[in-house]
Amino acid sequence: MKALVTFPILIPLATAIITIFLGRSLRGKVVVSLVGGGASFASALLLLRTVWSQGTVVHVMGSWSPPFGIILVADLLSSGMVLLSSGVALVALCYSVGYVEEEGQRLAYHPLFHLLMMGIYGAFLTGDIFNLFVFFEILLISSYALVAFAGEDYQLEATLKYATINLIASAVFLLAVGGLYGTMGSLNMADLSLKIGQLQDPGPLPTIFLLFIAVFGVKASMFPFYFWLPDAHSSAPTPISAILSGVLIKVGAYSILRISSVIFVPFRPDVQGWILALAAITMVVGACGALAQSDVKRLLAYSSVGQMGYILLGVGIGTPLALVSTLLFIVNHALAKAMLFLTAGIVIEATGTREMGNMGGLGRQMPWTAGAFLVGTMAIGGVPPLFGFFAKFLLIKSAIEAGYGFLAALAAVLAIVTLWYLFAAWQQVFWREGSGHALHAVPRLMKGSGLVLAGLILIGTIFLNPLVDFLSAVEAQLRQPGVYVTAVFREVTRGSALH
Amino acid sequence: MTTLLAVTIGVLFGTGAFLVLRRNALKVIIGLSLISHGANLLLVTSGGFAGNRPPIIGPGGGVYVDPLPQALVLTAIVISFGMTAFMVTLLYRLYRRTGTVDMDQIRGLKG
Repeated sequence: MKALVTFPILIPLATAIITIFLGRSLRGKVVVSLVGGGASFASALLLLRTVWSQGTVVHVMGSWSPPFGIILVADLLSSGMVLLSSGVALVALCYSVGYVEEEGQRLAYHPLFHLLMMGIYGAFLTGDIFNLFVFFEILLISSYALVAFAGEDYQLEATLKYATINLIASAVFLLAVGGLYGTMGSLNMADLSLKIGQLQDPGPLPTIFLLFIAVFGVKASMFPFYFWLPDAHSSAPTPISAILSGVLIKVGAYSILRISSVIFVPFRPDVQGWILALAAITMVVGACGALAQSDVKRLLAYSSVGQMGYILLGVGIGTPLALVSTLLFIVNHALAKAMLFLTAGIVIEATGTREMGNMGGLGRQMPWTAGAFLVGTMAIGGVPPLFGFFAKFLLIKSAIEAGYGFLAALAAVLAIVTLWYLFAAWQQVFWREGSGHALHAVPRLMKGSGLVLAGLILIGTIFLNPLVDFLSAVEAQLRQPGVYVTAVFREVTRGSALH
Repeated sequence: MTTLLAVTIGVLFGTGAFLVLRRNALKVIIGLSLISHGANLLLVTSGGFAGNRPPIIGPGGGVYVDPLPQALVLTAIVISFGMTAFMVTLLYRLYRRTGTVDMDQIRGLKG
């Protein structure tokens, strides 16, 4: 079942094409779109099961053997990320059916959504640097169109900023690709890993590595490149905000993890200081930015910046414990932040305002939504019973063990700040005495979607041990790039024996 | 040849960066497309650019340049063309709604 790797890419592509050709039939589009989302999720589950039982799955595209052709590689990390993002995407898709106005759904919403997901799954699964660029562009252009979808002034402005910085990042990505190809003569990740391993003189490679980190840092909202994020994530339609904050910024973190664990292994010490310093600043600016917000979606967007700082910190420390806690953090943040955006969207829909000062007392009127938001707050803030706590605790512990006492202290202080601004938001929206204004009706589908993610966080907390065991296995695979390389080249030799 | 290309790439990046820093959003878009041209040109040269040699092996063998960067750059050109078209459309819609392309006057968001 080698072709299984292509399913998470082909299913969204097919769904997008079919929904384009369904014309203006709303019911048909919604049904096909939900079936496509469900099928993507199912294929991701199947893929992860296959990878778990049979090891890394490699598929050579169009029978051009690597290093020339394009390959898709599913190891535990990439198939786990695909599963996580397809789960969040399915929930966000159900939410969209209730949220996006009918005219939008009749037009381009569903095709764009599935193209966005195709780009994300492709970026996780590809084993070729240039192909990664192509999938990045697919996911970026779909996300530009989705952020600007309703066509309000502020959405167009946010998209202009978002697209401008990411187009510059794309040009830098091409520079790095050109530099890498010019130096090493290959773009296949496994092949590069072998060639760089045998290299005597590093030449310009550390610089190229840093260029890649900068490019992926733009996607991951690393410090000097995060300015687009609060605008884009807060202006987008709510389900898209959930995808952007829950899944898309993790693509940047995943790419940094992937290239530093497979390709540029010998040069990790060269950039470690940069990643750590930028991650620390990212944590600080995210937390400070969130403290100053009165708009609930902007607050959540700034919080995403701060939490990405933690994820990058773990990537920078790079010890086994740090990586396991980073992966746990990624799972926690993907579920919890997506859920917070979805519940914030429900509140905005019901009250008709985004200013937290105009809300209040909603806890009595919408107890389930208040409960879900509280679960998200506790998960991101790291309150003990939930597994967000263990992610933060282990991360800080690994920082201390690795000798970064200052960073550990900073992370601990900012964890308290995070808890503070999120609880302040919850208190302002749901708890304090409200003006008791009449609420608009919110579709059941939207409320249900928020609750599903809250449920997943609780399930993750109950099954924390299996989850940590799985993430440790992922980390063990990351630590041995040889596994990845061997899997790819075993496939190549088998392919050439067939021809 | 390499020097000429290096200078060209530098000039493209320099003018592109200058234009991206303008207030007029249309100039920003032109600057972005100049920057991506510079990046494309660099990608072509990464395969060892050699003037008149073809990127395919002729009937009698002979010298040829690495065809892979040329395939890559073709993809990159198409992508940057699509992106530019999207940006121009986006800006046109913004202009229709706000009546200006001056980024200092389009300030609905706090940044």
